[in-house]
Amino acid sequence: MDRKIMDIEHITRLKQLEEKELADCEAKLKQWEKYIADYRDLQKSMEIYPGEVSHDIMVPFGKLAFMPGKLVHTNEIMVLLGDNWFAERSAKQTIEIAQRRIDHLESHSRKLLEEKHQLESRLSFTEEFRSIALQQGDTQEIVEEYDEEREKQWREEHKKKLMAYKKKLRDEREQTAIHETTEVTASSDLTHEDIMLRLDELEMAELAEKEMKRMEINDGQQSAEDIGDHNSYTSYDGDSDYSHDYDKDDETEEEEEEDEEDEEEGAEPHRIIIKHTPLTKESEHRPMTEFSKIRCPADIYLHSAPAMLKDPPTKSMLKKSRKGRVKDVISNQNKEHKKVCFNQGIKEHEEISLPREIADLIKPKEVSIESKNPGQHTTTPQSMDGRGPTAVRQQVRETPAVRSVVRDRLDAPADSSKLKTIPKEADAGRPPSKFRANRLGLRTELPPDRRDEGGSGQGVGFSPFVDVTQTSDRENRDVQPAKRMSKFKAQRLREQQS
Amino acid sequence: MAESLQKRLQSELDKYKSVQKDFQKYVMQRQQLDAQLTENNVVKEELNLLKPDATVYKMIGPVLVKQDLEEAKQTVSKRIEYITGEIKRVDTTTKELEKKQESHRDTLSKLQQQFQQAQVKAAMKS
Repeated sequence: MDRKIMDIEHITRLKQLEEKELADCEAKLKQWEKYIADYRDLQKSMEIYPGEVSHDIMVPFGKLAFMPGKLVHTNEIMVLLGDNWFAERSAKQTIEIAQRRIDHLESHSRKLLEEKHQLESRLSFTEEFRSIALQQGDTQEIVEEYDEEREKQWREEHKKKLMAYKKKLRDEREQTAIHETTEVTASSDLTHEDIMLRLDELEMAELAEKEMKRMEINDGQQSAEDIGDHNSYTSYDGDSDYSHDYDKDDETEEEEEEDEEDEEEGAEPHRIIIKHTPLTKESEHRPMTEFSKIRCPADIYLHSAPAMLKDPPTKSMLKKSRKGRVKDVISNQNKEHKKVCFNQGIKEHEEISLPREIADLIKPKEVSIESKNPGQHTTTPQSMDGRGPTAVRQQVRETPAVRSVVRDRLDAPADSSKLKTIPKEADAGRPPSKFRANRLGLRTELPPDRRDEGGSGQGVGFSPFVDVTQTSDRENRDVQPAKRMSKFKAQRLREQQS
Repeated sequence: MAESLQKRLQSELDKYKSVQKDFQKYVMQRQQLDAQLTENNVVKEELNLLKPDATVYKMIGPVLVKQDLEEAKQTVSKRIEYITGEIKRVDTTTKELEKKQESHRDTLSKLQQQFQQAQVKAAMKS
């Protein structure tokens, strides 16, 4: 009861304060309204003054006297702009000034009005509280006591009870588990098998996760084992979306496990067990990953740089008398090596956009080359003038497309000087390449610098594939170079004769 | 014991009051500066609306002195800048004073509590 009385006291006090504030607000509002009214009057008088050339008025003299006089200069009004600044204005302009001030004041008074509304609403709330306190209305106040010490006590007791309960649960579970193990003996093999399967799955998942982490850390370094394991992971997962996997590190493991479970649970009656045999060492994925790293032509050079350095400088095959023949560019030593590599790369990863880009890139370049007189071996594209191996390398780096296309061309047995057609004999034994089709329309002529560069320059674009593993195609290719060599000679001979 | 408490209470109260006065002073100053700022802004707007050949006067004491329009504009702008600077300064001091006030208030309340307890004890004893 005491508290209630106090509440009422508080509420009444609050109400008084609020009412006072409301009164203040209303007074302010009135004052502003008065100002606005004054300005309106001013505007009206401004309209009157310029009406006559001179007004007859009673002029105040001091405090107590007036004198009849005239009001002249009816249109010249000195307006106080504020802060002791005056301006001479006409009556009309004064009206405008007054209007501006009225606008200003009105916005201010609007804000005051809002404030007044707020205060009024607050007052109504306090009224409600008062009625609640007196229990006059429908509402009933709910009071919850809060004692800190009691709360602490309760919390401790709660903890104890919780622990006891959990212990009880545990005991019960153990009891049931014991019962189960003693009962089930016939189906123990099955359960054991299931457990082993589960263990296997988890192991795989863990392994895969490790690989993922390793892949992230050693971004540039690739090892076959990594790839091999990664293969199993990816095939396990179903999607070989590498960049995607790299990003989600922690999630993937969970997802894998979920996948496993889903796959398992999906066929309730039949258990689907997924196991993967590790692939052969030379995983096909390896170039895949390499390619995935290559986002722009420059990457080819960057990633192949270490491998490239291994290549020994090769002696150029070019004969000065030769006109720009693509076939002359190849050096004996590295030709087959790189050819194989490149073809291998091109062959197996047709889905990669890179060769496409190369084909697209090469076209403008070729046009420029063609424009020059192909017959003159000495004329070089201006970009190549006076540049050494490093420069060419630079060039190559920037336009690997050229190289790769050149590679393609070189792949083909030597043609006539214009390299328009690819002789059929060389193609006979080789599986068809879709890039051949592209190539048929294209022409390349390597500048002499590049030719001189020989194998080492060409190696730039193709060293990534140096370590490509063997496939059946490779053997074909191994055979090809030998054939092609003779082909070149044959061609040359033919030309000499013709 | 109670007397010393009382003394302490009194001194704290005095300090609090002085701080409060200072605070009020600064608050008023801030308000004034605010008003001046708005006024000068209005003047600036009006001057901008004036034609270049309009006559502008400045009131220096009881005298109206004719001023150049451009000069007037510049003077007003400078004044505005000055006022804003002053406002910032006053703001910082008001904040400090407010903090001081808070601390004093806390100590005061604590002392009051102690005093009350002491009183209760005294009442119990007697």
